Amino acid sequence: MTHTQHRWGMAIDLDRCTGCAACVVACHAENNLPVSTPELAAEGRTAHWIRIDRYYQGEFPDVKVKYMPVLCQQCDEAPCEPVCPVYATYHNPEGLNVQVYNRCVGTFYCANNCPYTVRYFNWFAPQWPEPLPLQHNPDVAIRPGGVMEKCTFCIQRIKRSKEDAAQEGRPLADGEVRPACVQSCPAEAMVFGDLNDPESKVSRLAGNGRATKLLEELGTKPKVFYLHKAT
Amino acid sequence: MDRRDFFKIVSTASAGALAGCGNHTGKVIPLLVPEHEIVPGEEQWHPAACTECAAGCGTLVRVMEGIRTIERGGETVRQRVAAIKKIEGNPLDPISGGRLCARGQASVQSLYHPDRLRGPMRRSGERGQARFAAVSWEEALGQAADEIARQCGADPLGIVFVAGPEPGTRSLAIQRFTAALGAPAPVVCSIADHAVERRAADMVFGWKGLPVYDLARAHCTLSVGADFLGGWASPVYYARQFGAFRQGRSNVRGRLIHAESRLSLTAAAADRWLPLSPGSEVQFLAAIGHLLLDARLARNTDALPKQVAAAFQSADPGALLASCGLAEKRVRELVRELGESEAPLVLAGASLVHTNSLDAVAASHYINLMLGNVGEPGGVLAPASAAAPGRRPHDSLPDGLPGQQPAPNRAAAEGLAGAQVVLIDSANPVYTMPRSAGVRDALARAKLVIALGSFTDDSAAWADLLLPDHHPLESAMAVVPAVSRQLAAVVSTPFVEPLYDTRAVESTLADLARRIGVEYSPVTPRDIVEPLLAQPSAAGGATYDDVARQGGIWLDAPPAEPRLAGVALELASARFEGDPAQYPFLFQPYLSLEFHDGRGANLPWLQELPDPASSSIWGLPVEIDPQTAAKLRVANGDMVRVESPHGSLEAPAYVHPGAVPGVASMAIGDGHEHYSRYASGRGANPLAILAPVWEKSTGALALGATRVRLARAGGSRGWIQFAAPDREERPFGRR
Amino acid sequence: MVARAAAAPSVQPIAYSHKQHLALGLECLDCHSSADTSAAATLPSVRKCMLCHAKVAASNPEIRKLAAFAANHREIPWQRVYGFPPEALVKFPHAPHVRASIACDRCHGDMTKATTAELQVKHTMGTCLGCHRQYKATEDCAACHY
Repeated sequence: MTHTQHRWGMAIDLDRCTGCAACVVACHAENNLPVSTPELAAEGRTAHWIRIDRYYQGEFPDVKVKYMPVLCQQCDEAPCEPVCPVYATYHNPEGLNVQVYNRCVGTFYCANNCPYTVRYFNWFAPQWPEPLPLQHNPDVAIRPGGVMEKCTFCIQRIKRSKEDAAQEGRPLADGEVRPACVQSCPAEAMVFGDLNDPESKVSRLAGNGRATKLLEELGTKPKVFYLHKAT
Repeated sequence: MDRRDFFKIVSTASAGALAGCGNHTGKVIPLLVPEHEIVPGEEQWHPAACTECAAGCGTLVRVMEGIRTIERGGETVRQRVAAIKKIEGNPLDPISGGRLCARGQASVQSLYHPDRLRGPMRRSGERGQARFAAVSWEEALGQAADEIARQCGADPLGIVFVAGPEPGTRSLAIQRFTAALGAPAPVVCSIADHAVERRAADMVFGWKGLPVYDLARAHCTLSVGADFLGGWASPVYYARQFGAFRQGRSNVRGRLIHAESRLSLTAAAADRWLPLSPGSEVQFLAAIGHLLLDARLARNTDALPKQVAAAFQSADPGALLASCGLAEKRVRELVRELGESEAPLVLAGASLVHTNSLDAVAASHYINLMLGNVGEPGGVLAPASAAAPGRRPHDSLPDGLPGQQPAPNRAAAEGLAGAQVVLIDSANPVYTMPRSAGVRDALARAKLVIALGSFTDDSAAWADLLLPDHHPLESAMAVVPAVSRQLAAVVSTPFVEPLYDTRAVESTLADLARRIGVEYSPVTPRDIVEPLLAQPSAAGGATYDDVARQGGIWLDAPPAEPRLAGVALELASARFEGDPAQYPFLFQPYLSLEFHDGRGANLPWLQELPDPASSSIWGLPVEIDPQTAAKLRVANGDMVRVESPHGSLEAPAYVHPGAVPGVASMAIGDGHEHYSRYASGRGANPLAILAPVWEKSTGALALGATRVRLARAGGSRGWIQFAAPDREERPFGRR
Repeated sequence: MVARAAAAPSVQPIAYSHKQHLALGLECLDCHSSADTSAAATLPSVRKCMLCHAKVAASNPEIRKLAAFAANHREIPWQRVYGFPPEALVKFPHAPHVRASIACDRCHGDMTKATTAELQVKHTMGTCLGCHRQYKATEDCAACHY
């Protein structure tokens, strides 16, 4: 896949990440994620575009915990894309794995095929008791029932930053685009940027010796890089 | 102002101090965003203050057009309003640095919460039933003023004002109100006021306020009993420090050793976790002190008061470490690492208060002293309030603030016991105090109970009158951050119209004082900010408007030398209530990052945030170790009965691979009897079954001092685990 | 998805005439002042109308209606003519289009002949894509749908 001007990617330094979940709430607030209820949650219908995976290793007292924020890996060879019968999920010129809600008919094939299980289906049209909808971000669609959704790398923020730069007649600066999760991270574990720019912070982190990709042996070519905890 | 305009201020103001050089010619920030200034699709950013905990983070709030649906005269109308879309950190604020925790970001949901109180109400059922009927402000204030005035005439000492620990305009208003009535000073009722840490800093160093740990510049840190990445003193600040500690320097990666009786977020992030027996922090630290002296790694022994040095020297590390449940050999290795580090730091706190916690935190200060890091880069630093010259700007603030000792929980319980008139603001004593402390009885006995919060919570349910406050985002206020090297106040200016018929507590109190006929001068953010502007380090010519426009003021404070008092080191064991034969387990209710002292439970975003330990959502489990689970024949989600000498609860089990055997832990947050549709009547409150045991010197509620027994309760109700696997099934990527 | 159905000219709260204002030499951006800088073109506030109409044609019955809104500090409840309903799941920002020198009438018709705003150009995906193809603008779905 060739990319035009930008090729967006993210690096997550697990040596900084504390598992505090600030990114999760930031994402909920930014992207109009439906508010669940215990009843919906019990049926597995809680949507998170980013989640904190946690794993225990070893036995007490030598137990280690690993926290790892997992979001759509924006794969270059995305398993979700070729299986969509209506082309609702596709790769855009900036390397984003896009979900077009208008096209989605809810076959669920993409979610079945995603090894990272980061796609969420709207089983019902989401409900927000009044006046919670006042908080909705007008830059992001309110998804109807029956469509699949997932992390967009905060495409609305990418567009807003590009628009700001265009208005001022200048190129985008490295670090100017910050998805909500990256913006919120207190430990600054998450870095977002342009992988086409070899000098960008994310490119440099992607080349760090600690960098690895999640399940990269599957050949999905993710654009999210995890930096292992140092020792 | 839009984001670019705000960041223009950022680029002209230095984050360290208010560079208010008086050249702000732009328009003064609008007090409220008028409808015609809201352009559809355009965003504005306004600075504000977060009041979700005492950390006092400065925030930036995104305001855009919103459409509100309201009922008016029987028909539904859509109204265009300025609406808050998102809360981020204020990059000018040295505490948040532009970042914000989950709870701070979720606080917008309390503004637009469907169950917020919409106006004053009067009790229409029995106390505790939470049945209320709407009433006018005139009627409600009239009734409140009459009854308070009557009590003032009879016995003003019977008026008890229960308040939260967050210092600022609110606490100042409450203090002035009680002083005007001749009533006792307000009682701070909170399990997050860090009374122990404050007292220890005062006792050892003569510092008023919470010490600041310069984690970002430390090389090797031993943290003891302080979940500083979780629900401790200033989570955003310390998480930022931690990121820099780990990977912010090109040549040093900070190493963290963490000793705590629970596998907390901090323990999880540490390079090494030492699972301490509950309450053995002081024994552990005494052993560390001894080993450091023994290995001649204490580089600054001269500074140590003689009797303290002697106490460390005479300690028996083998016996002490055995009582902590730790192997001596391993601890010796870590002590060497700490002692040989270029910049060693010991960061101790009482996330889980025990009866002897003050001794533990004091011991940690002495170890920092012998490591020579007090007041040094990468060491323990004095809070700004310790060193302000002349009249300290926070001296006018009431208890629980930098500069003074907080009112401990025991005093709150005792104060409530004899109360005739009770006012409650920013506190929920019915929830946060053990049942055995008698808060309910006290509220049932009182002649008048007034709740000032935005929700009918567990305590408001016992009120006669609800006089609801504005949401903080609708209020003018100043708050003083709990952990700060700068003399600071974070300032909020309201920029959205109040949604409902609510009134700021400050104006409710002023109104009550006027009706009662006592002298009271209303409080504004200027009362907090102007003393700071008069400081020598403030930029000349800076005005209150400059401060409001950037969301706060942060002034460099001169370094404070510790004034060593040479208090003896005590090594008393923690006391636990309950017969070990009958109640063989220790119980640890803890403050989590998502629910804090339970106040986060009414927000759906936080309810569906997976608990970091168990990954449960919409409900919190009791965490037990695998052997105990096997003995009890329970698996994840099976209901467990937790019984103390003072009560019992049932909660789903989480079989935690990192739980300390013999210790059951449970996050605080569930079990609200009343707290909106999202929290009422679900789960169990672990605080309810605690014994009324207090930290022996400060009177703080000893959260970890209750013994319990565990039994299988049968069934598995309401257990929802978000991410099922606890263990990785495949190796993580490839190196 | 078709743009929201037109409001008939008569339902507007004030019989505003685009033709008349444009003939006097006003430009679109004079009133829809954010079109070149932001996503929304925006409607002028009643205060802006009153900058001229405090004096101009003050006795006209329609201007009296306007003055009444201003006196009551109420905005005029204009009925929206163009725009996409939320369920269209599409975002349209004005500014990049103005920057690309797309004339307003391309999407809004010839307002020099129109009185009250009415829907002159149907906004379907075909309308958008036809133009995007002609100008070799992006045809990426995510350009508009997110």
